[in-house]
Amino acid sequence: MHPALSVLFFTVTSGMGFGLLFCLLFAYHYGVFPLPLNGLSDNVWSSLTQPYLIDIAIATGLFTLGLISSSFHLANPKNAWRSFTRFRSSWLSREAVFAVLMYPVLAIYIGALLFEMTLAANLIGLALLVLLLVLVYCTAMIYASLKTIPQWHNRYVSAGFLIFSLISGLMAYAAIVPEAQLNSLIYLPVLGTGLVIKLLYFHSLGEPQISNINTATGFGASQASITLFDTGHSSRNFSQREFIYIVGPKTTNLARKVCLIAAFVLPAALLTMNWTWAALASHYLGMLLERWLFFVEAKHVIRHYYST
Amino acid sequence: MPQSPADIAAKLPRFENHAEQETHFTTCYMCACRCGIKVTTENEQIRFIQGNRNHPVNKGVLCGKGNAGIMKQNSPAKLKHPMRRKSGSERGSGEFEAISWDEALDILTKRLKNIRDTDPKKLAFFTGRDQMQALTGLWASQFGTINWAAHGGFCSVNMASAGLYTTGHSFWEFGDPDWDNTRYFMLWGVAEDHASNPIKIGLEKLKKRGAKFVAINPVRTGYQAIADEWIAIKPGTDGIFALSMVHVLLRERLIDEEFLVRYTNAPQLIIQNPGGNNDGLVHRDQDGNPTLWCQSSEQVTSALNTDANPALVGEYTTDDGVLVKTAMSLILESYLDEQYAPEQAAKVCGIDAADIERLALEMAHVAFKETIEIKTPWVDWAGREHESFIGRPVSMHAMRGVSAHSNGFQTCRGIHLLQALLGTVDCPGGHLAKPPYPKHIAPPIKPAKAMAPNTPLNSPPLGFPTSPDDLVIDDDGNPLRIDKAYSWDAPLANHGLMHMVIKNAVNADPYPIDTLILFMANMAWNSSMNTAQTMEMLKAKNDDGEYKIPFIVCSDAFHSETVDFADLILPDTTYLERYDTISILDRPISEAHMACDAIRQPIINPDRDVRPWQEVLIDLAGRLKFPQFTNDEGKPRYEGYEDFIVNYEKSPGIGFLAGWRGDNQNDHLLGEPNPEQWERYKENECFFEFEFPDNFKYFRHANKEYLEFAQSLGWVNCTDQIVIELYSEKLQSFRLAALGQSDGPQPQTQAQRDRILRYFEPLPIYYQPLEQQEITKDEYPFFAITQRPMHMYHSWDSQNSWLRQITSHNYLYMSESKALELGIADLGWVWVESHNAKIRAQVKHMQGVQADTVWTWNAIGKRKGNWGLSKDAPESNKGFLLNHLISESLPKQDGITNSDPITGQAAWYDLKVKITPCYEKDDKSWPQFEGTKNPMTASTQDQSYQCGESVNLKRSLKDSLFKK
Amino acid sequence: MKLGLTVDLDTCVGCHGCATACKQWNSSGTIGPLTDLNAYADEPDGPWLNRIRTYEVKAENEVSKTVHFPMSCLHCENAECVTVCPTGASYKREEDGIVLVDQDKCMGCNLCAWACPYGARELDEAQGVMKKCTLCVDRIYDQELEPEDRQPACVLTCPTGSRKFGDFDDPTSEVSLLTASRKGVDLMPELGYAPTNKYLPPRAAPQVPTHATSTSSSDAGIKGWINKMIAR
Ligand SMILES: Nc1nc2c(c(=O)[nH]1)N[C@H]1C(S)=C(S)[C@@H](COP(=O)(O)OP(=O)(O)OC[C@H]3O[C@@H](n4cnc5c(=O)[nH]c(N)nc54)[C@H](O)[C@@H]3O)O[C@H]1N2
Ligand SMILES: Nc1nc2c(c(=O)[nH]1)N[C@H]1C(S)=C(S)[C@@H](COP(=O)(O)OP(=O)(O)OC[C@H]3O[C@@H](n4cnc5c(=O)[nH]c(N)nc54)[C@H](O)[C@@H]3O)O[C@H]1N2
Ligand code: SF4
Ligand code: SF4
Ligand code: SF4
Ligand code: SF4
Ligand code: SF4
Ligand SMILES: [Mo]
Repeated sequence: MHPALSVLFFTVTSGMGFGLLFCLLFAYHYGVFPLPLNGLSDNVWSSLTQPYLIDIAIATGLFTLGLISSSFHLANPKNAWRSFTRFRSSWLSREAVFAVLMYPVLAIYIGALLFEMTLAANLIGLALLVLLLVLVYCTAMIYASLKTIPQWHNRYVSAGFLIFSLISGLMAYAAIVPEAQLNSLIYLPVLGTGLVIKLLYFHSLGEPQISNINTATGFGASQASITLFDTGHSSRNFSQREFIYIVGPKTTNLARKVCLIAAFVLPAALLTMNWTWAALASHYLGMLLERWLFFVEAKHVIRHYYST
Repeated sequence: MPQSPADIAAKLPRFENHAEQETHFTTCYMCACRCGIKVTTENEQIRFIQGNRNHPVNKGVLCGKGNAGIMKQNSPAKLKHPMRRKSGSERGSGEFEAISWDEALDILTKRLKNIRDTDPKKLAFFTGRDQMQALTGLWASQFGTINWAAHGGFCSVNMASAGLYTTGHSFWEFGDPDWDNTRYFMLWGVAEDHASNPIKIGLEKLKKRGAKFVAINPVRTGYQAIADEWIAIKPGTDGIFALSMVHVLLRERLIDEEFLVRYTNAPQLIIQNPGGNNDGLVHRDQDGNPTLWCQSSEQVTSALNTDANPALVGEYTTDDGVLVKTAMSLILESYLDEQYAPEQAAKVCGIDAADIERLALEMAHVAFKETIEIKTPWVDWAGREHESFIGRPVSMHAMRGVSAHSNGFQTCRGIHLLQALLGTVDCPGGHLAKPPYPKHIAPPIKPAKAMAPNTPLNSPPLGFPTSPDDLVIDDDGNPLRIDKAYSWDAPLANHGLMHMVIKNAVNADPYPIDTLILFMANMAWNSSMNTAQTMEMLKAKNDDGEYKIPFIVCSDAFHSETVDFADLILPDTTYLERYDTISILDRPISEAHMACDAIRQPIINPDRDVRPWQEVLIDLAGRLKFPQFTNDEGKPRYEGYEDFIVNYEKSPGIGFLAGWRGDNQNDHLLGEPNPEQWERYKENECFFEFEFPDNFKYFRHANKEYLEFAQSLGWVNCTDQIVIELYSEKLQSFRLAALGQSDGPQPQTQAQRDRILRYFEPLPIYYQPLEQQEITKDEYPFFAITQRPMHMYHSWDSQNSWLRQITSHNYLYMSESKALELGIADLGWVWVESHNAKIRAQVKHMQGVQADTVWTWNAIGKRKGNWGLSKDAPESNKGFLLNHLISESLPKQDGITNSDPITGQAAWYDLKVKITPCYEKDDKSWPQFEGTKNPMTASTQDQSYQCGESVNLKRSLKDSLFKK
Repeated sequence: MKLGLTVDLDTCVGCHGCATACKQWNSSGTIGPLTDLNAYADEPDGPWLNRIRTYEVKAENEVSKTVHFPMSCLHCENAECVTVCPTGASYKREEDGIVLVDQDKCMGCNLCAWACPYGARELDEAQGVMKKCTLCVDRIYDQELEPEDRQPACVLTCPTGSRKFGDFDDPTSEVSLLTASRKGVDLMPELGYAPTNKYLPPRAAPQVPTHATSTSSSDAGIKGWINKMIAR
């Protein structure tokens, strides 16, 4: 698949934003990751400046940036609003609905905090946590539901999206809330899980695929060897540009290693040294590479028709 | 609940604005197949071009090109006004200034008048892929120049001539397989052909019927892809393959003896008198009739003697003491020879001996065990009644894979011999003639020789020589025509040698000319051999600074490469903008059982200052006061083309259009001119068809009632049986001349004598193509050929933005295993070198190609700046022409044309090359040409053609919100 | 109704007639225009709703074959291209199963193209909307056309009759009968899209017996030739 930059940036950045928001909410409400926050002051203005709200704003900024960038890859953005209409069937529509839903819910949540409606804030906070899980799951399912791309229609994809988003959030959390002094008992297992899932995913790519040029052309029974003689067009066409992006195995193998190290291993090491920003940077770049690989290693079945 | 289509329709919006739309019928001209089309327009724009279901040629279907007509009409390369080469600019630079039609025609009239007043042969008028040779030929005759021909000489004259000198009709456009009845079909060397849609329609019929389809072709694409059996022959060797099958049939005596006796000259007696002046001629009686040996009377008798029981085989001495053998005896002697045994042939053509044997026996099985009978009584030439037509349902079609070789004439005769032995000529299930064919052998028209100022020729420039007396040479034996047609170089050059015109004119060999008019011929590019040199020749100057060809006039509709080499450009209309006739006097669109013709009519008004070439010719004919175009007062006789078509009569009652003649407007085929004729055609969807009664449908070469009918229309000039000439006395007469055994003209040089003796064999022979005789196989191991892509017509379609999306550059296709052997990767670049030149091309691997053959699509490569394409267009940067490699002369013998030694057919496919990997890092083909200074390029932007507003089929918001 | 096509791989010669017929019909009609990118320059391209590819097929112990393979939208029963579409632009009509794109609703996200296994959808990059075969919905129901013209443009034009159009719900329709008799196949059935269009595989070549020849060719050859009595 063609790795459109906007999509890479969008999924990684918004994933991080959602993960960060998740961590913040979790920390605030369940205190698992210590949050240096002692309630809101009486003064609304000063409370606005409270670190928690700033952090929420950062998270919101991140996923908003991601969402905006996602619209760059629409060829006809003026119809983007219509993407709310097919909630019934389309994961993309669901993602859009939930993503947009985030904003009012978040606004109400912040209102509840500001007006110190604790119960409401707790409940809405919980709802937001669920919403975030669902949202990231929707994003994942956009890819995971496509039977046309076996590398995406894969048992590790939705789990991966969820855990990667969480890791990204955690890395961001560690960086912007240094006071939190994240416990290695927290980040090591999480990073480890991410690493394992990615490894399992890479491993699963080696599994044999059910579709091939024989099933694609219907000459399946004959077990014949089939080669493309003529594409019927001299220039690369839309399908080829969109779906057929060939990167040699050497490059992808190297990229896989760099990605695993940059996204998971190095951040763990850096965190233990408390270099939180470095960990975040390494992880973010690693995730961009992860997403790039996610695309370039995804082989749409249409390639069978092009013998590639 | 299921809904009916009408219910569904009722809920749909009205998509098409039918009220604003008009439909008109006309004839497609995206190629020479001439399918009927129905064009829907809306506000002077084309909405849709659809096949005309009632049309005899295409029955409603259209090919890839025909469906892209909108984009031809839209082409940015359309010429816009008459132009003159800018004074001071160099020819070929493409610098022009627009002039008015008046000025253009004045310039031309003045020039032509001068030539006509002094030396008419100084005008050479040659036409390419046109469909109006009847008009251009008439024009040239009236002008008085013999230097006229159409593209046949570089196209497929081998097929036409071999047929017309053998069966009286031919492959190419003068015959068709009997698609409705054939059970075994063998296709020789055809990628697409002129009958593009009819062949496709026919193949579907075969498949439906479960008939077997065998394709003989070095390459497996297109039609060959759906063949039941693909025979990967080595190029240029079909002759030995055909004659080896003849060997098998003769050896097993699996031949239609009755057919041979009754319909061919196989039983005729041939004089055996080596060294004598009648050796090899047909023995004739006092009345000049060929003779037979009658087994009952044991005597020589006239071939017209219907009581005779001719001996098919035998050697006799006539009463006057002449030793004779039947032609069939000579056939047996020739082809039973070991050299034609499958084992021997296999070594040459690369087809397994067992396959050669089997294919021959399969055809024999179908011909003789699956015989069909059509119960229609008919009367033969001698007046005898027959109950039915007996059919041997084996048919064949052959085209340029056979014709574009220098042995193509004899190869094609070999295929006709095969057909005749199987008894499949014009019989049910066999190969049928298309009216006005068959003709007598050969058609009784002799090529014009004599010329005088201001005098029309006394016969057409092209005709059918039957002996050296008919050659167009002077007393010293030198060619009279600029293309040297009908000279000793190419005695039966029945379509001229267009590919030699430029070279001969530049070399003033046999003489210099003044003006060259090219109509619809891209001679500066894909239609010439040795293209790079040809472009230089067009620019060549004498010492005095004058161009060697002083004046070049080009009629084209588009900015072709040739346009850039003209001094005067007369822009033509597109096929949707003009009147045209597809005449029976020309290469008609007839079907086997129907005489047909057709017209074009303007559908779109030209938005430029262009004129139909037809109009220009009629106008010039009036200005130049050609007798047939001038009335008694010396004024132009015809108002224009439409008037000419209606009123011109070739002979009384016969004009360009056959339908709706006469006062009552319903005299078909023959009748007085009818002023309303165009209207009648338009009412009848722009075509005319006259279906034959059932008793005219077969054996027309020997069908009395048919022949009488054909004679009444001037299609044949007598009702004699058309006897199929397996043995050609006409060819032998040239050998006698070469042997010094004739009173008429004789070849002058030993080389000429050797050529004639070797190639003018009266029975079909196989010989190695001429170029290949003169180079070594080791040096040039690969055969190199081209094929027509089904979706492109020669150079026409690079300007078509839809078709060029399918193919905008070509590859050199090579056998995968051979390429890998040579270290040539898929998509790697290579040097391709012939004895003549060198090019660089990109290779593509394939499996379906004979291992020693490489090929490419024809005419995809373009010169920079032409055809409305931008400078970065792949057509010029990656596309390439094989033509550079093909020489118009043979490697050794200087001056001998690279053509069939009998017909002068251009030998495009004799080319041999060597291929070496190219290691330079450059993704471009070579040579690259600088190109024109004045490109008529389109903007490099995107294009979005639309006719009328689109009516989107809306989905309601409710539906998208709530529907599953 | 379940409208769709059969495509006969035994007769398709790869002429591209169906492709250009489709192009010209759909340059206007309900889905047009179709933009030609770089129309007269390098890399000319644009959306085609029907394309013809060509394959070389080599089965073990058999000579290889060339097969032309036209492909347009197969109007799948489980059209996931529709399921994934977020805007509702893509839809499958209940009444006849035709899968369409509402040109006014599409936002050009390409997701439907991602979901199509058959490459049947191509984005018009200039207009930003998705194009695909409409099964010529704007022809087949047009009551102002002659009944025999109410056929998809590609079907009308195919010179080898390789493309047939009809209702697969009707067991007596030509397409149903052809699918049954020629053992029409689904492309990539394993993905479960249940395509409506069926491909008719190349047939086995007919076997022609060779004419039995006499082992003793005594009368063969010129020497032993005995002339038959045949009247001229
Ligand atoms: N689409 C399209 N149609 C056209 C044209 C076009 O340009 N485009 N041009 C028109 C014109 S002018 C003509 S003359 C006709 C020609 O129509 P075709 O005769 O179909 O012409 P070619 O493409 O030259 O095809 C020759 C075929 O013969 C094969 N071949 C080459 N050498 C040999 C050989 O030695 N033996 C055998 N058995 N096969 C061989 C080639 O592989 C090729 O398949 O087509 C006409 N129709
Ligand atoms: N290597 C190789 N070369 C070949 C062949 C081959 O197989 N291989 N084939 C040969 C054969 S068989 C042939 S017939 C020739 C074809 O030879 P040509 O007939 O010379 O070639 P075309 O490319 O068809 O060019 C004809 C010209 O007609 C112009 N034209 C198109 N429509 C119109 C119109 O309506 N009016 C006017 N006035 N002009 C128009 C075009 O713009 C073009 O410039 O090529 C030959 N050349
Ligand atoms: S074969 Fe195609 S291009 Fe040629 S006349 Fe027919 S429809 Fe037109
Ligand atoms: S072929 Fe592709 S576009 Fe057509 S219905 Fe099936 S999935 Fe959708
Ligand atoms: S590109 Fe258009 S039709 Fe396709 S999924 Fe996106 S919005 Fe729907
Ligand atoms: S049915 Fe219509 S839209 Fe679909 S491929 Fe055929 S011509 Fe094109
Ligand atoms: S029109 Fe028919 S023969 Fe031509 S490519 Fe299309 S399906 Fe094949
Ligand atoms: Mo030709």
